[in-house]
Amino acid sequence: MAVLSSLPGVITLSVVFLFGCIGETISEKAGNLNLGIPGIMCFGVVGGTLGSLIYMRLIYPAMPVTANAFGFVEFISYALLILLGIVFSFAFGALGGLIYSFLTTTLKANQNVTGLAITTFGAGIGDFFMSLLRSGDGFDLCERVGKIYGFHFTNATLSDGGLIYDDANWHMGFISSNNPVANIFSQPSLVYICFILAIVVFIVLNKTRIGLSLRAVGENPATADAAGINTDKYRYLATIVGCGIAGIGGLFYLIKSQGSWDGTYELQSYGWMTLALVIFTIWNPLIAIAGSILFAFLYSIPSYLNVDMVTGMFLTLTPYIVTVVVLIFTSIFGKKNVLPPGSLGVNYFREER
Amino acid sequence: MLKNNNAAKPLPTEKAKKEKKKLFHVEKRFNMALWQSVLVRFGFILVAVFFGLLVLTMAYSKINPFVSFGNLFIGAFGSLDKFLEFLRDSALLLGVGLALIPAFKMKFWNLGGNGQILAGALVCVMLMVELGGTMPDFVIVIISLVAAIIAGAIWAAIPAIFKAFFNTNESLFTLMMNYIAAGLVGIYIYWRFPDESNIVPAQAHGRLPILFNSNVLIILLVATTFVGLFLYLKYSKHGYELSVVGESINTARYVGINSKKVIIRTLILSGAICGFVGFLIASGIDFSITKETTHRGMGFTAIMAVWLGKFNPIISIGTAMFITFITKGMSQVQMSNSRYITDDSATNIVMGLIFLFVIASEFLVEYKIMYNKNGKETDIFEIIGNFFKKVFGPVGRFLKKVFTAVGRFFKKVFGAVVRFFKKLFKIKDKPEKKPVKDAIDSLDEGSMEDSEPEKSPSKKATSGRKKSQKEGK
Repeated sequence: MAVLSSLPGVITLSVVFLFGCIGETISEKAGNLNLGIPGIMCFGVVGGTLGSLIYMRLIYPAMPVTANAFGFVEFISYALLILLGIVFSFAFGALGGLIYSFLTTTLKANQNVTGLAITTFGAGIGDFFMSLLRSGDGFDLCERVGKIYGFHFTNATLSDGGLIYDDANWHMGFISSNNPVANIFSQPSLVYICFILAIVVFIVLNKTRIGLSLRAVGENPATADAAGINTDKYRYLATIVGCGIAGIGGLFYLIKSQGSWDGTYELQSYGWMTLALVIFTIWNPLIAIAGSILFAFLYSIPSYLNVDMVTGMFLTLTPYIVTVVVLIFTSIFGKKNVLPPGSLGVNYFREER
Repeated sequence: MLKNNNAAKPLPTEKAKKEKKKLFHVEKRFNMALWQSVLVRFGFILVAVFFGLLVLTMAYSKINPFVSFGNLFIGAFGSLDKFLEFLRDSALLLGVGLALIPAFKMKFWNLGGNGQILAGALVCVMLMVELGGTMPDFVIVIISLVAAIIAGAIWAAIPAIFKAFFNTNESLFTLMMNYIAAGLVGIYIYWRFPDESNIVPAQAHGRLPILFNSNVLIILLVATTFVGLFLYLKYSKHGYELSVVGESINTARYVGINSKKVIIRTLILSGAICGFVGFLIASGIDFSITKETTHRGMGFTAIMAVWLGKFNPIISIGTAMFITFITKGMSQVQMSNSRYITDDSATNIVMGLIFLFVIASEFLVEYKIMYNKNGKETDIFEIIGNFFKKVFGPVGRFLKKVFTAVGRFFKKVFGAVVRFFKKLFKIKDKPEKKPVKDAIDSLDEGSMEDSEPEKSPSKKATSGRKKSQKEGK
């Protein structure tokens, strides 16, 4: 029963991993081992917070939402709220991806080093701007951002002083019951968007021409280049889009923690976990859905089960051990489609050889 | 039909023209002078520091950037204690860097420095806790030193073995080993010290002996390691072998190097040094362990340090010191503005900016950008240089004229003065050493020895005048 009641929380957490994992999968499939994901997620948090700030300062005064009347204007207002957050966190993440791919693809810098630099930079930016945004005229933005990103058409009340939310109802409104099974499906809208995104990315990567080219660039850029594929373009696109998606993961972290923000430390550890998850799911977004739920389950289960600290800590350690085991097994028995992309972590310079 | 043919024919030529007209083109550069590359890098670093401080100033208008810049230096060099701490932290960072250099030279991306340090520190602390009081301190120190080195070596050897035999991706593997090590540390703390708010109390036994100051011995130990590793890389056969493996495994196989053995052996060395650094931290500084024992991910920072140092141990000294300088300086900046900045975000931003800028600058060192004009390619640096020559050329020529005129005038005046004084005090110039060629000539003319003394005085006089002119200038 403990497991069942933990599931809603687990799924919420898993989405943070899943966003990062999808983004990193796209990037790695194109051959860019982006170790900057923790930093990119921090970028995303800043972007998402900024987006909601813009909503609150510019759009909410023009289109206020009240619980009594819910019509077309209110719907637009809600839609903008969600859209702005997503767009801004995507844009900020993509900005990080742009820096990364400019350095690695155009300037041929070492990928590991660049990734680590982005992580350091992103952590600094995240801490810095979040504390800046939070301390603005005594109104804790993060807390609100965390609470408004569900489709809560019901009990959300908004007053002139800002947005006031009912903690219990920050899940999707149409199911609200005490039934634990029903609660599993009562999730913020982004959860569903994320699962759909995973499927879409899987189809694009494996069933379309773009995906084929992308994988070719990741496997063997020299061959892809000879076949007339613009390798630089694909690496840029893959990394930027991937980082944008990972940035949304950063926004979702804020939603998951319901707006409580205590530095980027936890988010960074989630980012590193994401890198493990990509390996664990053998670069397949569909497996990533299940994998991220498993990881989130292992990560958060100690707080639901009544285990002692040592066992709990060991449980949170298992994702990494499992990842190592998967890494070893795929490298020993792996067929072509479960191995890491051939040129992962290696830059392509046409005149090299 | 005819029209079609006409339309089809020019296409390829147009395409060719288009390709020719590609304005910029990147080429590998082989011949950059050291001073040029140093100049480029330092320029970029300065720009990065400037940008970082600018961000701070823009965000917090009350922070004075010039004071902050001064604080950067106070943080590292403010007092003797601060300076020693700066040296110690640089030494530790350098130590981890030294561990990574052989692995990286072999193109084995060891991202597991943190894990290996933690493994060493954990074993060390465990021994300090368990053995403390049962035997003399120096025995504990020796035992924990050996154990820490072995632990670090094992932690690095596991990924190495799988890399050698199954070609498992080492960067991902070592990354995971970091978290496993951190998890083990957490488990140990909760298991052994479940009460005392889950912190390992500072251990009294098994501490590293103190030499003058608690930091000095650590610095000396790392320095010794440095010398050892430098000699190992430069003069031993192993050092040569690992760089061959790094260049190409096929070449290594061709010349009869067992690459598997080299990989495992090098990583054992790498992990051992990391374990040693872990021992130094646990036994010499913290006397305890947390997940943060690695000083906010020293394994990663060290990667930056040695990469900036081109995997060269000697240059890495400078880069490790520079990174520590920025860290210490920025924490000082933050402390002096603690009302505005509450966390280490400023350090991370400036650090990240410097890293990114230096990474970008590396491109200018490694590659040259060729500018294509009418099919003739020239290095863009040269173009900039020529531009400067064009703009400043006339000014330069004018200045050169002025300076030479002034110089000639001074030469005349001072030359006369000096000659006058020399005459006054009857100073004789020392006889100049004869160039070898002259000496040989004079040997050939051995029969004419008598005439030589007559010749030489006049020579001396002329050379003496020249010398005095130089002095006058």
